[in-house]
Amino acid sequence: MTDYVARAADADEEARFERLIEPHLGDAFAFAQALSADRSAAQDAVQSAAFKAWQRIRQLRDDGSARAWFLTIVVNECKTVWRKRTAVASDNDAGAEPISWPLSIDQRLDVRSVMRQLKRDDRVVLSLRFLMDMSVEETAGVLGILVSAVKACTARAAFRFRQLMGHQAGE
Amino acid sequence: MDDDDIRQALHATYSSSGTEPTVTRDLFKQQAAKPRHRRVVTSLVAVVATLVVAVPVGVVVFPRTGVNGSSSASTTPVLDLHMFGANDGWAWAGGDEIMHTTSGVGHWTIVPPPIGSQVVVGVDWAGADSARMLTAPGASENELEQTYTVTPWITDDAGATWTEGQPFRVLLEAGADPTNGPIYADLDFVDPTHGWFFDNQIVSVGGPTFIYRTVDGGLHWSQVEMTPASGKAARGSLPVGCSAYGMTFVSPTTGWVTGSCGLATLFDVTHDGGATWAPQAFPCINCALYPPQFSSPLDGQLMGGSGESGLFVTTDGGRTWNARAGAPGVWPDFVDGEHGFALGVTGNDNPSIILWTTSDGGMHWGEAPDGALHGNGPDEESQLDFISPRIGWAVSVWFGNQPLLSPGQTPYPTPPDELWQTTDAGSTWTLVTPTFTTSQ
Repeated sequence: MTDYVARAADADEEARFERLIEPHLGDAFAFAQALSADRSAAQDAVQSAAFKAWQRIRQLRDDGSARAWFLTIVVNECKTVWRKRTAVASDNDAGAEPISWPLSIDQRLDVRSVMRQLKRDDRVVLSLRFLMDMSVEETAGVLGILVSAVKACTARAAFRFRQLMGHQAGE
Repeated sequence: MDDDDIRQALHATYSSSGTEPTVTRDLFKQQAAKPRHRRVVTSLVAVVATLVVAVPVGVVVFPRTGVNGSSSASTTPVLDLHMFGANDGWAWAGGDEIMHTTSGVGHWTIVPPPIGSQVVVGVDWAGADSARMLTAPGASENELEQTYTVTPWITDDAGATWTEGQPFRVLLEAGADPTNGPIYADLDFVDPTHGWFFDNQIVSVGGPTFIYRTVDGGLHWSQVEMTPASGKAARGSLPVGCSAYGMTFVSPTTGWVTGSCGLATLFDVTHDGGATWAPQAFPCINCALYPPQFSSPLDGQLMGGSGESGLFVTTDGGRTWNARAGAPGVWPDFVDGEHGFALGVTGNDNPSIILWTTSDGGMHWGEAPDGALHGNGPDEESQLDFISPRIGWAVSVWFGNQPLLSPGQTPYPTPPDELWQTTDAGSTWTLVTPTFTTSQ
């Protein structure tokens, strides 16, 4: 195994990072929270992804795809955190920190609880499609899978989400 | 609830409003200036149920030193470490980097199976000199279910030679090397002869479940269980539409599949090697259960719950299970029916890392003697692998990347990659820097 390249970005690349990546940090953090066990894990994932994006900004050839490129790195970082956190305890609600949202606390907790019950791949697809508002084509690009696969995964993940939300609501 | 409702719920729950983190590029420069090792971890290497304790131990990147102590710039991330004794054990660094030791964790011999470009579906340690591996074509590194040809690999001489078994076709969600993504398949041997292979991914979204069994050490595999994605399962099959988290066997005949069916507990048992399954009574009717780990043919533990996770134990080979006190650490490691360990922290405002122990099977937990580690031992995110009430190891799984900082905040210190060893029940810990030899 080799280390990832530890290389400082030059001034032009720093400017590119600031222009192309930093505006998406908020999105990335929301996305990482949807995939992560808690806010701290999401912060770790985004920080790590930002560092890698900063190192590799030269590899980003199409400025227009910066958001998708960065979110791809975030997905990979979250997967790395999943592999690190082996235990059931790290994937429960403990440590989840509420932020200020318009939904009631109960409903927010329901959504978080349901997301954590989903298969991780389903969390990713659902979050890309409905939280990041990506098209099926963009989602396919981020995940490196077929558009038809994204459609199928989205449908079954959404079905599962509805099913679990129904359970939460006592339906 | 339609797609727009899901969209609204996710946005309302996760979209940040002025809370997005900032990055400090100066920190990136400092970070980039330091030589760093990539850390890789896996949580999904199979939960093992051999007759000795078999807890998968996370990952640490060992700096690799060449033969005879010559230095090398490369590193070896250990994805799974399992010691069968103080000196004998296995570790896996991903791909074909299987490592074996007969001299303790301080020195490893890399004994790669000839898998070429195949990706690893599962690895299991069937004995101190016996390892089993399943691989699939590299193209199977996809998150979608397809039918793949899976190839078994077997060694019973500590990796000196590897035998290729009879390939078989199986529907897999993904045959993914966990260095490149999580894997979801369980490969579980109770001895060098009897093993099972279970893809537990698809069932969580309503796909079919397959279990394959070998009775000749992994050379040949046959399907013993199939539960369809929908409709009605055949009599004696696993239930349809459940989320199966994993599979554990304690003997050539008896094993469990655990998870949840909606909000109900999934805890099905087989007594005929996986051919037929039936629900078993469990002291929680709405728990999601992770597969048990057995430290002896009689003593086993599992974690599960319906919110907070708790510990359940058996002392009669899995016939009955009882709830115990919540373990203070993330994932306790038991060496027998009585003695268990867990790393955690004290609950005050200035927390110390504590090694917690139990000597009554998890009914009570207390600090180990000199249990506060004060930096002279593994961090709280390390994972434990004890082989006796006194001898064990801990591998650091701290990623080390700086958390996002607000202006003026001080970055956390970054601990190095670490492998710790104790021979006195965790009172004192010694940092180990392993060396590596390549067998070929």
